[in-house]
Amino acid sequence: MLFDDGGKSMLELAGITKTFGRHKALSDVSLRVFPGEIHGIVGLNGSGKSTLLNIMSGSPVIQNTGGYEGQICIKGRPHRLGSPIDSLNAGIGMIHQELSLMDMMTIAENIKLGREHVFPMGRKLLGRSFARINPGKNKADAQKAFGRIGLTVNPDQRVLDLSASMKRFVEVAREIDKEALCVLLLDEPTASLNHLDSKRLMALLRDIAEKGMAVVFVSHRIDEVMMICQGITVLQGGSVRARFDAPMFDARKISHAMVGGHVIKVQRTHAPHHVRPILNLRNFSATAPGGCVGPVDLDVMDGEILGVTGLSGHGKSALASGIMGMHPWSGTVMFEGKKIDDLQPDHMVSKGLTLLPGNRRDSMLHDHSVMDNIVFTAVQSKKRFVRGFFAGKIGLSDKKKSRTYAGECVSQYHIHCRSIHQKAGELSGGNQQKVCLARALASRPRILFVNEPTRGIDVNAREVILALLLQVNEQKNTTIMITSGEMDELKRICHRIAVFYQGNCVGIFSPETDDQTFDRAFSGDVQGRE
Amino acid sequence: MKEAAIKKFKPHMVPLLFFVLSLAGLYFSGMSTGFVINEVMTRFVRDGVMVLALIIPIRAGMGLNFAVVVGAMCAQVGLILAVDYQLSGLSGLCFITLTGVMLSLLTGYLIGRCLNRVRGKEMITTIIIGFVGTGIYQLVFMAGYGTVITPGNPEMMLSRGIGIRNMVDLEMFRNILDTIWLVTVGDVDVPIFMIMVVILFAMIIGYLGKTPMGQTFKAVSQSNEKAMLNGIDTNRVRISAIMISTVLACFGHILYIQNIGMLNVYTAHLNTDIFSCAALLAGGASISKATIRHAFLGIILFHTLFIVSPQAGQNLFGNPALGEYFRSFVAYGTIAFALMMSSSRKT
Amino acid sequence: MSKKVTLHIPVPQVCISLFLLLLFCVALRIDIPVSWLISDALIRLVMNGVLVLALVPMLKTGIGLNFGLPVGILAGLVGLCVAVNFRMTGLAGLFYAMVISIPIAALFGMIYAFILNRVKGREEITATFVGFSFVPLMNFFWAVAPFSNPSMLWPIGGQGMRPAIGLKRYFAKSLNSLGSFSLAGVTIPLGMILFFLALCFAVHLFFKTRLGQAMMATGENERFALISGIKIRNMRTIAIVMSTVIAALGICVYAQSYGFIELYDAPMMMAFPAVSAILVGGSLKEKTTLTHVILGTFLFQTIYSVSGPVANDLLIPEVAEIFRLMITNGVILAALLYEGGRHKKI
Repeated sequence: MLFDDGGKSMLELAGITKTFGRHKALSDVSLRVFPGEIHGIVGLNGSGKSTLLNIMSGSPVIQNTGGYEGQICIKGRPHRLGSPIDSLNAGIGMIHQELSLMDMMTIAENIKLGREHVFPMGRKLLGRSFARINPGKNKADAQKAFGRIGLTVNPDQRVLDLSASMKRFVEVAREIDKEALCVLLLDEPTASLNHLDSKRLMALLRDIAEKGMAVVFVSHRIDEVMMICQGITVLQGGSVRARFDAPMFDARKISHAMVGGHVIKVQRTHAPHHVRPILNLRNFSATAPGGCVGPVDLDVMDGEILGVTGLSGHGKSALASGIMGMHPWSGTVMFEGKKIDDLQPDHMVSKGLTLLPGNRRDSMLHDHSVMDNIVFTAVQSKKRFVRGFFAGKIGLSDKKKSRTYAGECVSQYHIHCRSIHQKAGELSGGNQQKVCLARALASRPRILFVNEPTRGIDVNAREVILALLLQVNEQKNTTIMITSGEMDELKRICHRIAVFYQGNCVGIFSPETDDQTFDRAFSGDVQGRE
Repeated sequence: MKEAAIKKFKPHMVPLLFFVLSLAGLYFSGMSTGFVINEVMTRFVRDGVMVLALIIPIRAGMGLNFAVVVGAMCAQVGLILAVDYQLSGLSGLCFITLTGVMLSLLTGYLIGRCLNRVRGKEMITTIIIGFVGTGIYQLVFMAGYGTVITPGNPEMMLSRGIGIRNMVDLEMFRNILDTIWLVTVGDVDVPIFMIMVVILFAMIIGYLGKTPMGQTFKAVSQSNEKAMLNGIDTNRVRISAIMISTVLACFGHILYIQNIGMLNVYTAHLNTDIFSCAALLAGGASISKATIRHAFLGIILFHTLFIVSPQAGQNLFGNPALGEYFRSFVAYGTIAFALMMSSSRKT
Repeated sequence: MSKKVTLHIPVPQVCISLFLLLLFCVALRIDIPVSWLISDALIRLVMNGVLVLALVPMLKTGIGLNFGLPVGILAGLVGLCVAVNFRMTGLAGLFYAMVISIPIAALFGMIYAFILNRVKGREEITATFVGFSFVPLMNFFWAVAPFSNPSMLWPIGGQGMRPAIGLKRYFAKSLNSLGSFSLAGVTIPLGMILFFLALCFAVHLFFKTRLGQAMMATGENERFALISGIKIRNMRTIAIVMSTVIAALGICVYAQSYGFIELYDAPMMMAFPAVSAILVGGSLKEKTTLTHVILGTFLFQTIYSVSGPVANDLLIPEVAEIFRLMITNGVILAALLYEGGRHKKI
């Protein structure tokens, strides 16, 4: 190792293990970072990168789910990080993927939040909390911190009015303003930045490291990590897969370690039967809380599997829910050649468009039985499995038909459950996802939107889900649009893959396209568009 | 353009409505302006601090603190104890303040602990806490005095020997403070000292906003999660906010009672929360934003309407009860309206 | 695993039951007849049970506790007053009052729903204040309402309603006495109990229908309901209107049993005992069942009726009232804190 010359490590993790319920997010992760080092952590979605950072930053999510196992040492001294305050006191600074700035406060207030300068007189008389803040000194500090980044700002500006990249720099300034800071953690800091700002940020990180700090840089952009890091740790499935040291970086080896060997691989075999578009989007845009999409033009072909991908926050997940009418939208949506004027979820569901959200909490009734879940959407939108009274307005569910159908689903989709009357919430993640899929299919959709179908599911169940999606597409000719960040999976089952960058579709690629082209597309750089 | 104008106008809608209603009420009631100003001035010094007590929890993002009644009860406990030990004058006032503040710090802490468990449901919880507090308070003085607690001053007891009388006369405290620097201008009495006391409390609240404590309130109200990531102990901040509010409420109620000069042991504190909240909201505050300006403007507008409406009801409809109903409707309706208006922000 | 088992023991209900047992023992010691206690408990169960039942639709649809129960109660009061105005008597009179109050309650419910649909996530506090402000609003109506039956109006002046209208000459106890019989000194109001059970069963059946299932799904998982093509707003509106209508029926049952129509500020605080009762029964948000309604009302109201004479005999009469208020609000507070703590852990 480059620094393994008996020098003291700044940050040392030993045997870090974390479980969420039954799911093991991290197992026995160890890591050493030395002063002056920038250490990269790479891995796919769900490989445990964020969990590791959350542990180090004392995030409440970790505490609320039972804490972590293992030991964390800073400058050789062990620390137990139970809250953000613990981490702060231990000298760990964290820049989250999501901004943690107070929008309604000024730059200076944000940078000095919790560490304001106060007038000494008031401090003596009333204590720090109740002493008057010295705004001049705080502003000077903010300007000084920005000076170190090489920028000048008006510290009185409200954060709300700043650009995304500027906000990122305010966070960096906040961290480097902390005197005790010795370890800086960054989670995908360049995700919201353009090329130039990314470069500037990375130069800044080098500066910070040279002053003797340890920097941990988490990203899935391998090129960036290779550019600035002295060491790289690859996480896969919650454990350390490989380590690399500075000069011996090899992009192919790293990405191979990230993806790893899968057990069985489902692969699409059939080409689509039709080339007629079923859904046309023209100038469509939607505003979702997690990100915006559009304006975008996109045609979905009848009977195809379309992959939609992009980095998080670039609008890929807003597309499907936007088409379902769950967010404010504009533009034109044509379904089977007819313009739809009124995008409302109930409307779209009855037309035969069904959404399977990525968050399984949203896509099932946990306290209801497997059977109730499977038939629910069909009962509500298509009045299947219903015995009607009063012209069908008031209907009681037809228990017998429901039972038969649910039984069929359980055997057809290999749902492992005690009986169809078991509560759906008691099943494992993979089986829950199968129930969700069965539910969505029971309403016989024309188009099925699937969001992150394999998130948080173990490897074997993933393959089953993917196989199911393929089977549905091939046998029932259901058009499927999969939104996912898992390129590897999309490449295996999709006919076409659309890449989104900053809310726009930058290109539609064939699954055979090489990785470099996709990587470039993820950062908005489009060539070789089909 | 038009939307921006509407947006700008929206926070002024409620005060404007109150202004128009007060003006109309004043006209129909036929009361003299001097009398109304006098009354409003009295209410200002009586209720001012109580309304100010609501500002801090709103700043900390906890909504309207209906548990100010608990602070009011703390003040009443102090008063009753002072009467029990037969303390009077300024030393008595000091004793009341000291007991009241100690009690309100304690109860404020407990309320804060409760509210940290019920994030997102603070307001309904504070209402219920107020009711429960009232129950405990009434039980202690109705059944505890004379059975478990031996009274030192038999005059304040009910004839059966258990429980305190409904009314306790506070002869020795009546208008102790009101008469300091009382200036008469025309037919209007101006209690300068008391007005300055209220303004002093307002300045304390303004000052709090300029301290690190104030910054943490602001941060917690914007986003609990982000504040936590910034290393702020949000639970502690919220407890502090409620403790400050409860102590201020206790001060406010002491001023209120010394102004009235009588203590209605079992009912004096009831509805202080509703009326103060309504007054604050009448000034244009919302459940997520409140300033001292809102408080002062609100007290003036709300109480003007309050004073004139029974007489206006009598003159307009020949039935003073209608004015009364209107009053209660305004108090509750203002709060309901504010809740209705400021919730669209959340989803 | 052991944790899961302990969760299934309903600690609050056990506590309340033990406390009730203690009160009963004290009642026996001071010679309050048991038969009277049981008869009173049965009547109180139905008298208040319908009002408690009114909370169910909103709870199940995820809107929360209906602290705005006065809205429905006021609609019921209008119906009652109309029936008295036309001097309707007996069971027919009660029925007439109910029929009149249903459309009024539906109308009030629509207004109420419009307000509550604007304040998602803050329904309970808003409901409280909508309920509170509806009362003085209706006070206007009572003061000027064009009713003509002199037994409802102020004796002097003949304008405006009395605060309490006696129903003795109209339909007081008409439902109480329906099919009521005595068994070993205990009066069993069979008709009344059957009426209550039928109403409970109707609500139960409703939640088995397609519409009811959709409402239930809205309560359990709103995003799931949305992607299943359910109109959330409509479901919420239906639940709120249902709640309001049942509350109107509830006050009709209550008033005929109580023997008086209480107007003006009387309905102000009526939501709280009902809410408290359903919480005592063990209701947890959308997981509310009719067992919670019946068990809760029974436990809560029995404590109410037993505590009165006991307090009278042992302590000071006012204490009974304070004590009831404390139980009412203490239960609600405990439930809020318990609920909040439960969320924190997840």
